[in-house]
Amino acid sequence: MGFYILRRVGQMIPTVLGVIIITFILFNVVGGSPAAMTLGKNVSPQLLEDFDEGRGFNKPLLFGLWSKTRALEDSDFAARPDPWRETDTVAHEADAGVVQLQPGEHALPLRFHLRAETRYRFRMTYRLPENSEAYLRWGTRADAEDSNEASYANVERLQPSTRSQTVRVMFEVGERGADLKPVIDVVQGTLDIEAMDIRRRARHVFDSQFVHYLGQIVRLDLGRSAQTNERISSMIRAGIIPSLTLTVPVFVIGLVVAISLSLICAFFRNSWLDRFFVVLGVALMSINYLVWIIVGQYVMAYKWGWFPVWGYESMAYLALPVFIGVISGLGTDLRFYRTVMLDEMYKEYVRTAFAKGVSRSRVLFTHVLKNAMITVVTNVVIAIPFLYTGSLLLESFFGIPGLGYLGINAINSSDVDVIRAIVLIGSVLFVIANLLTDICYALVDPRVKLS
Amino acid sequence: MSALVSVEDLRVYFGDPAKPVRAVDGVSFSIHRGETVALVGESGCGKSVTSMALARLVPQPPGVYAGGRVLLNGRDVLTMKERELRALRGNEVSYIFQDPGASLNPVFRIGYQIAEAMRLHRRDVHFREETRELLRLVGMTDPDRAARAYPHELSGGMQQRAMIAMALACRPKLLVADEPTTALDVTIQAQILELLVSLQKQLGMAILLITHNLGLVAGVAHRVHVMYAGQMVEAGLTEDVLRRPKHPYTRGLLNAVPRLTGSRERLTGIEGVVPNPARLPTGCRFHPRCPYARDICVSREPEAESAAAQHEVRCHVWREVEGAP
Amino acid sequence: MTQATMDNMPGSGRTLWADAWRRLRASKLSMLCLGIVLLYTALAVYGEAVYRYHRIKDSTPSYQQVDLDKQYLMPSFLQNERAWTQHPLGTDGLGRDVLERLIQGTRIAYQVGIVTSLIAIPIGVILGCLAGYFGGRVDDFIVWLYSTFAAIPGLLFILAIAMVVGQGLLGVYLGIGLTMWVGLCRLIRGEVIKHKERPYVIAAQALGYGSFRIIFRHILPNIFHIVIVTFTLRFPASIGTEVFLSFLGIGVQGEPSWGIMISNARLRLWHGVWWEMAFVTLAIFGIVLAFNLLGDALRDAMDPRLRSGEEHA
Repeated sequence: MGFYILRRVGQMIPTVLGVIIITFILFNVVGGSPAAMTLGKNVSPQLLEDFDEGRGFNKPLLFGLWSKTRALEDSDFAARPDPWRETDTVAHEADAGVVQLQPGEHALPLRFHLRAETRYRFRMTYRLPENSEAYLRWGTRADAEDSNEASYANVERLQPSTRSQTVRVMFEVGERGADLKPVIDVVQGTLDIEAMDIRRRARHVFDSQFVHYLGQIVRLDLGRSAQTNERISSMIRAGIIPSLTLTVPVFVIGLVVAISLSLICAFFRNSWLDRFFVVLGVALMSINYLVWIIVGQYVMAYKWGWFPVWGYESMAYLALPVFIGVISGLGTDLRFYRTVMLDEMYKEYVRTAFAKGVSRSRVLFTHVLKNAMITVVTNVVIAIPFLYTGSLLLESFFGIPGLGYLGINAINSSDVDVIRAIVLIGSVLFVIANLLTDICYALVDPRVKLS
Repeated sequence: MSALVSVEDLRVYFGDPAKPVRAVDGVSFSIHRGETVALVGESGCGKSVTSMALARLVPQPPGVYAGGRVLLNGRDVLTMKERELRALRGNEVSYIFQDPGASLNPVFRIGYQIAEAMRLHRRDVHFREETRELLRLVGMTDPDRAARAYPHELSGGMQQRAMIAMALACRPKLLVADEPTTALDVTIQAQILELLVSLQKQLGMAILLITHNLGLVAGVAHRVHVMYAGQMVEAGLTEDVLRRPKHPYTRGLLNAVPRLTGSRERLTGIEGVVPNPARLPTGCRFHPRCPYARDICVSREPEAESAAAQHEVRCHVWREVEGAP
Repeated sequence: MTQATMDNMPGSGRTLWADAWRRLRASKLSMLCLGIVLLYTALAVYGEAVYRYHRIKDSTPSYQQVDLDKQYLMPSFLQNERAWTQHPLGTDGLGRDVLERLIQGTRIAYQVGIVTSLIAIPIGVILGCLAGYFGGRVDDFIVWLYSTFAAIPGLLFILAIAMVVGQGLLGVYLGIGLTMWVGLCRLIRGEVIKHKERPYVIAAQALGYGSFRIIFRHILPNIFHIVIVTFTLRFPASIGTEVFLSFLGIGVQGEPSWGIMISNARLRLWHGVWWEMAFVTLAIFGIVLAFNLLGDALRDAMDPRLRSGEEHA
C-alpha cells in the first residue's frame, strides 16, 4: 500500500507543476502587471513601478537579463514626442519621426529616478549632422553643487554622420538614483533623435518572474493583498474555518439526503415515486443557483423572518445558507446517485442474488449498495476541494467571511495576488483529494491491484 | 412419476402492450426428478427467458407474464406470493449463469456468497465447514483459499465451479444451467459438464441445461427441446431427436454441425435470419427459411403433434422431413 | 430481451441517426423540449436582428430607453386593461419593457453558449482523439494537460480568466470555453481507446490507411453522438455560468443579459416588485430545463449504453 501511495504522489507532482505553470501564464503572462488595475489610473509611474518591484513584475518573464522600466518607455516618436516635451529648443517632426534638439543641455526625460544600485542599458538612435557636436553625460558626483561639465562622471561623444547612429551606454546607478541625472548636451548644431529605450539589467539570467514565483511558493509566501496589505497566507488561514462551517454541513447533509432518496428511487424502481423524484431532480437542477440564493434569502429571511439575513454571529446564521446549499445541489446529486444505483441494479450479479432467494431490500442495501459505494466514494472525495472554495456565492450573499467571500472581494477589487493564491491552493487541494480518492478506492474495491 | 416442474403454455411478453414482443409464446414441457433436460436454440429464441420464468426471475417491467402456468411441486410459480417464491429460490431451484465473472458479486468473498445462500434457507449446518465441503465437491483443490478469494482472483473455470457450489448449497431439486460453459475455454467446458453430470448422479437433482450448442447435448441430456422464435418446435429423447430429427429446423441445426469423421462436405447453414420477434411471419414461424415449406405453412400455424413415442413436433410437413435423407 | 436487442433485430435497416430520431420522436416530453428549444432559438434570432438593426442605424433600442414615467409597471395581463400587448411582462425600474429585455437576454445567452462550444468542442475532440489513438507520450501529455486544467476550481478559474482578459465578452468566452473542453476530451479519449481495439479499426489499419484518416473519417463518426449530447448538456451550464458572471458585473456591459437583470431585479424585490425577478427566473429555468431533458433523451436515444448497461435477456 505504501508503494501505491508513493506512486500516486509521484503522479501528483506533474499536475501541481502544471497548475503552477498555468497560474503563471494566466496571471503573469496574459495578465501582465496588474498595477494599473489594482492601483487605478491616476497614480504616478513611480508608485506603479514600486508595486511591480514588490511583486517581481518588472523582471523578465522566464529568463534573460533585460527588463523594461516605466522610467522611460520605448519611444520612436512617430506620432508624439513623448517623453520629450516640445519647447523652443525641442521640436517634434512627426513625418520624419524625430525629436530635434537645439543647442543646450537637455535632461533625459525620465519619469522618475532610476533605482539605486542597479545597472541600466540606455540606447539611442540618432542623427548628428557633420558640423554638429553633442555629448551624452551622466553620473553627477554627490558633492557637486549643480550640474556642469566638470561634475559629470561619464561622458560619451555622439558621432556625427550622414546616417543614423546608435549609441549604447551602461548607466551604473550608485547610492542615489537622483545622482544619475543623464543629459544630452548639444554643444553645436542640432541633434535628431529617432528612438530611445532603456533596459534594466537583472541580477542574473534566472532572475525572472517565473523563478521569483517559484521562490515565493517554496517559501510558502503568497504575497500581500494589494487592498489591505495583509499577508495572504494569514488571510487564508483566517478564512478556512468559516468556509468549512458552511460547506461541511452542506456536503454531509446533502450526501445523506441524496443517497437516501436515490436508494428509495432504486427500490421503487419505475414506480410513480421514482418518476416523481427524477422530475423533481431535473427541475431543481434547472433553477439557477443565483435564484435559489436570492429568492431563498428574500422569502425565508426577509419576508418570513425565519432566519437572520446576513452575518456570521452564531450557528443560526448558518442555517439558511446551509439549507439553500443543500437544496440547490440536491437535483444534480440525486440524479447522479440514482443513475449509479440503477446501473448497479442492472448488473448480472443482482440477477444471481435474486435467484438465490435474496429479498429485494437485502439485494439493494447489501449487494448493490456496497458496489455502488465505490463509485459514490470516488465522487464524494473529488467533491472535497469544492468545500474549500466554499460557495463563492453563498458566502458573499450571506456575509460568511470565508474563502469564497475573500475570492469574490478579490475579483471585485482586482486583487490579483489574492486570487492567484486562492486558485493555487484550491488546485493543490484538488490534487490531494484525488490522491485520497485513489487510496479510498483501493481500500474499498477489492479489484484494485496495489502492486 | 409426477413431474418436478411442469410448464404449461407459458407466455412471456415484452415491451409495448399493444404490440408486444412475444419472447415466449406458448411453451409447454416438464422436467422429472433426476433427469437432465436440454433446451436448445439460437440466440433470441426465448430459451433464457423460459428458464428464468421457472423462478419468476424475469424483470417486470419490461417483461410481463402473459399466460400459462409453471408448476413446481404442484404450486404455480407465476402466482404465488413473494415470500413463498423466495423460499423456493436457491432452495428448491438454483441457477448458474453464463458469465460467472459478472454473475458473482465482485466485492464479496466467495465463501461469503456461498454461505449467504445457506443462511437464507438452512439453519442446521455449520456454514464454514459446509462451504468447504461444497467447494471440495465441485473440485476446488484448495477449498479454504477459494473461500477467502474474491471472484476476480479466480480463473473462469474456478469461478463457474464456485457458482455451482453456491447453487448446490441447499441441495436443490432442480438446477437451471443457462449456457454454463459458453464463456469458458473448450477444455474447461468439458470439465464443467463432467462435473455437472457427476454431481447429478451424486445428488439426484434434475438439470435444465440451456444451450445453443447441440454438441453439448449429446452426452449429457436425457431429453432435448428445440426452441425457435418463442415456441417449442421439437421435443423428445435425445438420441431420438438427434438421430431422427423431424423438424426442418432441427435438421438444419444438425447439418450445420461440422463433423470430425466421415466425408468432408461443405458446411450447410440455414438460409435466412431469425425473425424479429416484433414482426413474426404468418403461419409457421420458420417457413421463410424452410426448404420444405408449402402453402399451408404460410397460412396456418402448426400445432404440436406427437410423431412417435415421447417425440413431439410442431410442423405441417414433418412426415416428409422424416423421410428425407 | 431489452429495447436495445429488439431495435437491433435484423431487417430493421435504419441508420443510427434515423434510429435515434425515431426514438426521440416517440417521447412526447422530448418533443415538447425540442419545441421549447426552437422557440427560444427563434427569440434569440429575433433579438439578434433587433440588436443589429439598432446598431446599424445607431439608434437606441426600445429596451434601453429609459422612461421614468413608466417605472415599475405591473405585467399587463394581471391588470384589467385591454391593451395588454403594451407591456405583457411589466417594466423594470427604469421603465424598460421586461419582455424585450428578456429576449435580448436570450440572444446573449445563445451567443455565449454557441461561442463557448465553438471553443471547447474542437479542442476537446481533437485532443481527445489524439490522446486516445496515439497513446504513449502524446497521451501522457494530453492527460497531464487536462488533469491540470481540471485541478483548478472551475468558477474561480473562469472568474480569473475573465478578470485577466479584461472587460467584455471575450473573457467570458475564453473562461467558459477553456474549462468546458476538459470533460469532453476525457469522454472522447475513453471512447477512442475503446474503438481502437475494434475490428473495423484494425481492418482500416491493415488496409494501410493513415492515422489521421482513420481517426477523423472512421472513428469520429462513430462517436460523434457524444459530442452532440455533450453540447446539449453543456449549453445550459454555460448559460448558467454566464448568468453568474454578468451578475457579478463581468462580461456584458450595458446589454441586458439575464444576470444583469437578476442583479437589478434583486434590489427591487425588497420593494415588492416581484415580476422582473420572477420572469427572468422562469426564462432561465425554461431553457435550462428544456436543454437538460433534451440532452438526457438524446443520450438515451443515441446510445443507451452510455448511461447504463442492460443487456440481459
